[in-house]
Amino acid sequence: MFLKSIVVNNFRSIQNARADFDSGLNIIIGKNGVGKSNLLTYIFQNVSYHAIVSRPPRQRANNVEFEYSVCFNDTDENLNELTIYFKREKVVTNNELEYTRHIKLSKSVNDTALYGDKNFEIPATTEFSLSYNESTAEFLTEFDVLRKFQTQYVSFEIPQDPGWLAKSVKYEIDTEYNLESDMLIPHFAILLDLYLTLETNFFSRIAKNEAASKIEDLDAEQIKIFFLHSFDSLKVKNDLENVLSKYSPISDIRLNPNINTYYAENKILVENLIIEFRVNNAWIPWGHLSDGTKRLFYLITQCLSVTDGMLLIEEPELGIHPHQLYSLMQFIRDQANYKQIIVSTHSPIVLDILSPDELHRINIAKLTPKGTQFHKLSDAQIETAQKYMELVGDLSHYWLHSDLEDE
Amino acid sequence: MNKVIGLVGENPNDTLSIRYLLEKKIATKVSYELLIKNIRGHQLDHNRTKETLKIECERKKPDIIIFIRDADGICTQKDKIEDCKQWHKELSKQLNVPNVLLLNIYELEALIFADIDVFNRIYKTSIKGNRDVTFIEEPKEELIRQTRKLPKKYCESDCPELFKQMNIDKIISNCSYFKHFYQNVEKLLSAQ
Repeated sequence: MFLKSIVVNNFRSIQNARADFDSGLNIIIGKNGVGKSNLLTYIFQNVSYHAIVSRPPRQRANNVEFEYSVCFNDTDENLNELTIYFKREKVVTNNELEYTRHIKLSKSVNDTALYGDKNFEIPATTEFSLSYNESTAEFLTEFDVLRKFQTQYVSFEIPQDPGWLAKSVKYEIDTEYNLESDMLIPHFAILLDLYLTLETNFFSRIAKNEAASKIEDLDAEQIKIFFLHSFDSLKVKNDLENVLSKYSPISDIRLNPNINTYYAENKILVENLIIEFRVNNAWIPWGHLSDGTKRLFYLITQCLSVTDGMLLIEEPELGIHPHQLYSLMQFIRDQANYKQIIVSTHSPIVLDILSPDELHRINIAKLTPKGTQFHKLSDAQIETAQKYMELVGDLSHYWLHSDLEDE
Repeated sequence: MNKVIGLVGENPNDTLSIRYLLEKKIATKVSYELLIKNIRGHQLDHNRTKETLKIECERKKPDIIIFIRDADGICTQKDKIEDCKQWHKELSKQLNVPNVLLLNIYELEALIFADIDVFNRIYKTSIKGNRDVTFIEEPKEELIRQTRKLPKKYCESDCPELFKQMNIDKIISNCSYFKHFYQNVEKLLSAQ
């Protein structure tokens, strides 16, 4: 499934603009301050099932109007296109601030309209949820396909609180195998996977242990070994490790071996669970990784966490050595075979990942009197770009030494 | 129809400075077009820059091209001057556009000495005029040295604004190589 187009209204520098995308890799270029990040932020906030159905966070609960199309193949390999128009407006009823929503859906299969516009008016409610009736039931059915459309966003900054990565976690396991931890849901999507599979793996190991069918039969050292072995055998951990060792300075990850386990008040306490990273043959905690390595880890893990949907990346080149960036772009390119990736960049290395027949994947952002606008390369620009690639060698040469963005 | 003057130089300051200077005399019915952006001096020798130039000539269709280079030597350092002339000759052969070389003796800043009053006024210096600019070694360094202890210090990026205020006639009369270059530009334009 991929985002084919979006029309954005009144968001920061964007007054009214349309952007078109392809499946797979898309690259947005444009000078500083023209609105590239605004578009990515807007897509992240609005292109999802929950953005329309759920109550928005208070800071985003303002008037919104947009239209976007997503494409996906159905089980018979037909190309479906779903176009969603959404408008949310503030209204004041009985001195209460509420919102009305107007949603319009249209659908085509293999470029043939399946039905005309279907309109759904959702009146203001203080609950701000879809009240279930015949109309909304139909809406939810049509819209259901978007539920599995995942969106992840790698912005300039990695999350301030990376959870499990930066601070140790404490588990409490009681004799009924109830497990509690003080870990907050991590911002790094893949860590949630690690966390959940670690629990499952841990308990299945205990269940298989014939010598200790009850948790109280295990000694503290055994618990510790179970945790360490459980982590080491996680598929998600091993998959991640393979990618990290190929595309980042991190060659391995592990649970800190100095886990503390002890009994207290009929509970087993497991403390000091923290992930460590192997860089240059030394095991170091998250806080000791360089900023560039942290961002690489963040970018790679966010990318891997999207299985069907879209990854938005703001300037993958930030803090990354050119050689590492070449290799990262190869990873992004490979991943783009399985998901849509929209990248904004100022880096020639990123642009040079494209081949002469992929120039339609470039979007140029410009600030005009009508606000930010986006456009694909014209036929003449594509012709010039291909000449540059043939005679000079690099597409980026056209960008750096000519007027690709100014035409 | 406007004639297009294409500019190729060692850096954006050089091309913009010469453009501002020429516009004082050559402004009607011409437009100036920077043919290659963001280039540094050493890149001008590369084959890929030559290929870039061919593509941009096809696209922007200049009537004449002005190449601006620094000799990095004074007028007695014939080998350096000859190297640049040879580079221009080779490049000329590959282009079907009439072109001319402005070979700055030592570097662009030498021209500032040809109308030093402007610099003295702006930077509050009292640099002596009436010098043969083709004998000034490292003119940029001299300007930096002269303003090092002054409130306003000279930077390379000041050049375009300085050239905007300089008098082209003074430069033509005080600088032999610029006079020769200017005559060539006029000749090429009138032949178009």
